[in-house]
Amino acid sequence: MKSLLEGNEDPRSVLIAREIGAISDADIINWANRHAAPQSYAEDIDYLWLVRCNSRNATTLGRAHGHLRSLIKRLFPDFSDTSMEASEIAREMFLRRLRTYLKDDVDPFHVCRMVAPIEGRYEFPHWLGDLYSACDWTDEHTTREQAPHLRDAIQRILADNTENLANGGF
Amino acid sequence: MPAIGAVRQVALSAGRDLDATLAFWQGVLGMKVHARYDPPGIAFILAGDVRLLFTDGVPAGTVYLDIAGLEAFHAEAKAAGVPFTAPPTLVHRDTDGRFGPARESEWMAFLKDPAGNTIGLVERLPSEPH
Repeated sequence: MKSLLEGNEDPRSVLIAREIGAISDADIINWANRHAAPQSYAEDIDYLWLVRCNSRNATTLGRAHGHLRSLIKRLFPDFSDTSMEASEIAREMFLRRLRTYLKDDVDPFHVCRMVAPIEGRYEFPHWLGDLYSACDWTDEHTTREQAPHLRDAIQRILADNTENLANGGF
Repeated sequence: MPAIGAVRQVALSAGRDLDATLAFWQGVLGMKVHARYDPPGIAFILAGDVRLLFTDGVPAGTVYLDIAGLEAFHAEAKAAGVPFTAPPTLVHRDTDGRFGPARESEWMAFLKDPAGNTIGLVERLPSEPH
């Protein structure tokens, strides 16, 4: 699966993407390796840990999320992953993941696993649309061919979000 | 019509190395080997009343097991280096109680054993208010 991140994202965006299940721990490491860090954290101990992490070692990989959290706590002490600012980042990352579903070979489960964390953190935001219904009973074995309704739901959500933006929403 | 009863046995792949597969089930999932016959190189693990048969000659399969405390287990196992193919994820809200008490949700996480069998760990939890 192609990485959702390009490498130039702010660490807060990476954290929120991870919190909502849009990316995995391995994606965090991949981001750190492609990221051109500014001086403010290029030498940070947690950032360097991410850069040097061996993503093939499951034990160390499991710690990536925690190191990213520590980095952000130090760099942006006022940042809350449930704030309005975070919600807007979550919306952007969510929509980015939906777009990749339409273009790339992303499994339905990689989209559907975002539903519960988003509902929980951002109190059932309207930009989530009716993704839950389209994801009902989707598990790791569900194929794209089995889920044409998911594609329809994603197209509808993307259209609704574009429309809302055009109307000055959010 | 025949009187078909409950599931008695499910066959899973033993993989190339039965020892490694059983070690995973014991070490990671805490499930003891109930019986082993060598030759021919098969083993049984009990999951409730269902026998899991590990044998070669069958393709890797998928089995869903109930677990209490899925989130805590995932955190602990992940920290110990167990690779999950999917973290705990909401799969279904059983609003009507079709598969258990009404208004519970089914959460599942997935991992693979060394033989390539997929293990879905399932926990039903009260649904959050929607």
